[in-house]
Formats: sequence, structure tokens, C-alpha cells
Amino acid sequence: MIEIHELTKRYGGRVALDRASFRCEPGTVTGFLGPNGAGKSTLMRILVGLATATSGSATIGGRPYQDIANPGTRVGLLLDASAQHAGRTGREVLAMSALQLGLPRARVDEVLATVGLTAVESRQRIRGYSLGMRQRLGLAHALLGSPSVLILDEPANGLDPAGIRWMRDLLRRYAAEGGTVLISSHLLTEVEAVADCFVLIGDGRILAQGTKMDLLGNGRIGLEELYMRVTAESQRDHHQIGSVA
Amino acid sequence: MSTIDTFISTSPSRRLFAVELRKLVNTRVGTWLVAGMVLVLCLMTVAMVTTGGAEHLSFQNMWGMLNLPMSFLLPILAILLITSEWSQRTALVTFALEPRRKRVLAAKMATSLALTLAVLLVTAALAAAGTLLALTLRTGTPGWRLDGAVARNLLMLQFARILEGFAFGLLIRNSAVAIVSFLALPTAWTLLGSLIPWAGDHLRPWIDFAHAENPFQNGEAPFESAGALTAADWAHLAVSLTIWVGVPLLIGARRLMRVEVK
Repeated sequence: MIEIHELTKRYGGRVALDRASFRCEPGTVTGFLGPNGAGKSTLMRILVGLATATSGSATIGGRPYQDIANPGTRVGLLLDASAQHAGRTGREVLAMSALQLGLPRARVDEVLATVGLTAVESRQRIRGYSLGMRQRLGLAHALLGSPSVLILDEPANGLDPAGIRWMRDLLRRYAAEGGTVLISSHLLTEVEAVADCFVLIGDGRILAQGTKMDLLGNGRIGLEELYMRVTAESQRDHHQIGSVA
Repeated sequence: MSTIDTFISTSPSRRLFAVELRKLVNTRVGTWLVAGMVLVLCLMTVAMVTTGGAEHLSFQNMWGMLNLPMSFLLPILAILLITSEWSQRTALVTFALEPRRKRVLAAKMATSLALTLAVLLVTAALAAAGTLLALTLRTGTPGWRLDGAVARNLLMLQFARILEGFAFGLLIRNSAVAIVSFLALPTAWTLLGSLIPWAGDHLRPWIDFAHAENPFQNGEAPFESAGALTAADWAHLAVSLTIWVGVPLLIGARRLMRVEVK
């Protein structure tokens, strides 16, 4: 379970996260949505200890990420598929992490098969990978330690339609087996298809959150409509505050 | 199966160390760098044995000569070991898999020291081969000579050099800037000395580590004898290393503990 409680992050005078709170339950996929610069990536980085919060807390399974022993075996991460050494092969990246996590080498072949990278592709250097292949590698990397929590930042970017379909099935299956998934994306129709819960964020504040049923009124409105409505309201509020000040 | 089990049971720190060692060689650049290093060292050995003055073909001189190019390469490798995490953005994965950043830093430091040790051993092996060859092919070679002081100076300087690079990389965290400033700094001090003679005489010995290292690899035939070292030589070395290794290491490590990894 992921729990974000009153999480605030300031960079100098700029507020990147403003008392954000939400939780992701086991067995669900949570779609984390919002415009660019709304604070999604900042929140995810704080959640996994790559950045520190100004105040508030972010825990996974009741603990701060830094306190989880061998966290790669509990939490699978894909924060940026292009953040890999271009001169290494895909297989080498996975083999290195398997070594660090203390996993048998056979696990590398297993996750490569799961994400559909062929043996030939896995031996090529990442420099030559398409964005879709990098995403698959990133997902393989996230799945390596058989974690019970997945945190994925824009994992569907660059995937072809078959890839998107495959990812949706994978995440659904993963949640059905009791896993917790937090996924950020701009592909709203895709998120609508895969997620059970949504968290909408704008200017560092949580604008709306809830189950698909609650937020979309059992299908009366679409996710895109909800998103546009909520983010537009937030912008209007913001401008009003600005003009008053 | 048993190898897998031992793998899993080894401590996280040792696994991290193994990963960091692997990072040195598992890129194309890394592979070629290591292959190139070994090739250059072999060629140097052959060249020394065949064309060097017979009186210079002692074990200690060949060992020392082989370490000269390494004294430039080792610090650069140490710089890249840190800065490539940022230039290639692998820091994201590295620090996510091991959020206790001190451990990552310790593993990288251990890797740098292990690399230096490996270089010292490889060059010693080549120097030994060279000495054997020289003894059989040439006449009047000094053979297996190794003064304790020469060996001490060589080990000390090589470890100091890699720590200098490590500290620069940690402080600057940008490959190009770190390497250029590491290589350009001694020149800057020379320039300062010629512009302001007082600074050159009184300040430079204390702040220029390359200058401070000179008495430890004395002059023309650097490794024939250790030469007499004064208390001032030791003091210069200690102070310049404190300034260029100790301080940047401390500041760089403190910043690394807090910096946001993107």
C-alpha cells in the first residue's frame, strides 16, 4: 500500500506540492493524472527517496522507502525509460540490477520474456533502442525483483497499440494478483481502461480523487471530460487568487 | 544452485561493490579503455626492454614508468565512475535500488581503490616480465632492484591521484568540467606563479598537488632512487591533499546525501 500524507515540497519560494494526500490500495491500479509540471514526477521521486519532502510523509507498506531493505524486491520503479546508459546492452542493465538485488541470473531471461524483448534485442546497446523498446526494458527492470508495488511514470509513452494493449493486460493481471500499481500518464483513454482509482493533481494540489465509479458516475462522464473540468477549475481558482493578490 | 544461494546470501554492500566494478567495463568505452590500457602497457614494456638504456632497466624503474600514464588515466576513470551516473542519468536507478546513498558512495570509493590496486599489480607483473626479458636479452641491467622508499612513493602517489579524481568528480558531478578542471588546475597554478612570483614561491607548494607530488617521483630518472625527502615535502603533500581531496570529498559527499536525483 502506498500512503501519501500532507506531502509538501517547496523549491525556494515555488510550491511544487501542496499538502497532497492520497493512498493506493493493494489489488488496484491508481491512475495519477495532471498537466505537465503539476507535481506528478516530484511526488514520485519523493515517494522513492530520490528527493526529500519539505514536510509530510510518503510511505510504502507503512515505511519510508529509505527504510525498506533491498527495496528493489518490494517496489518496482520505472521513472524515466531514457535514463539508462546508452552504451550498455539491455541485458547487461538487467543483469547488473539482478546482481545488486541478489537474484539468480535466470530472472533476467524471465523478465525479458515477460516484456517481449527478444534475445537478439537484449544484446543490442540501448543507444539503438526505440522509445517503445526502452519502455519495455524499463518495465522489465521494474518487474525484476518480483515487487508487490509498481510505480510507473508515463510507461505507455512510445508504445505501439499492441504494446499498450499488452501493458494494460499486464497491469490488470498484476493488480488482480494483489499488487499495488501507481501509474502516471497523459494517455487518458488508456488510463481510463486500466485504472480502478484516479488521483488528479494540478499546481501541486490534489484536485480530485476516488474510485472510477465515484468520479465518473458509473460512466456518465468520461475521464477526459472530468480531467478538463477539474484542471480548468483549478486554473480559474488560481487566476482569481492571483488577481486578488 | 549453490552458487546462486551464495550469491543471494552475500551482503548488500559486497553486491553493490561487484556492480560498481562491473560498471567500469560493461560499456563500449569501458571495454576499449581497459583493453587499450593493457595494450599500451605491454607496448611500453617491450619498448623499454628493447630500446631503453640498459642501466635504467631495473624492476623499480620499469614499474614506475609503467605507472606514469596510469597516474593520468586513473583519476579520470574515478571521475567518470561518479559523473557518468549524472551524464547518463543512471543515478536514477542506482539511488533507487540503494537509497542509502552512503553505501553507494562507499562502493564507488572501494571500486576506485580496487582499480588502483589492480593497476599496480598489472604494472608490477609487466615490470617483472620486463626485468626478466632485460636480464636475458641485455647486458649490464640492474635487474631486480626495488627500494622500499620508491615502492612506498609509488603506491602513495597512485592512491592519492585516484582520490584526487574521485573528489573532483564528487564535487563537480559533470564529466567534462571535472576532467578539464582536474587537468587544467596544475597549469593554472604555474600561471599564477609566473604572474605573481610571491604566490608561486610561497603559496603554490601548499596548494598545487601536482607540484607537491614532484619530490616523490624525483626528476630525470624518476624511479632510480627515492631521493631525500624533507619535512617540508611531506607537509606540502599533506596540505595540498587536504585541500584537494579532503575538503572536496567532504563537501561533495554531504551534497550527494541531499541532492535531488532527476
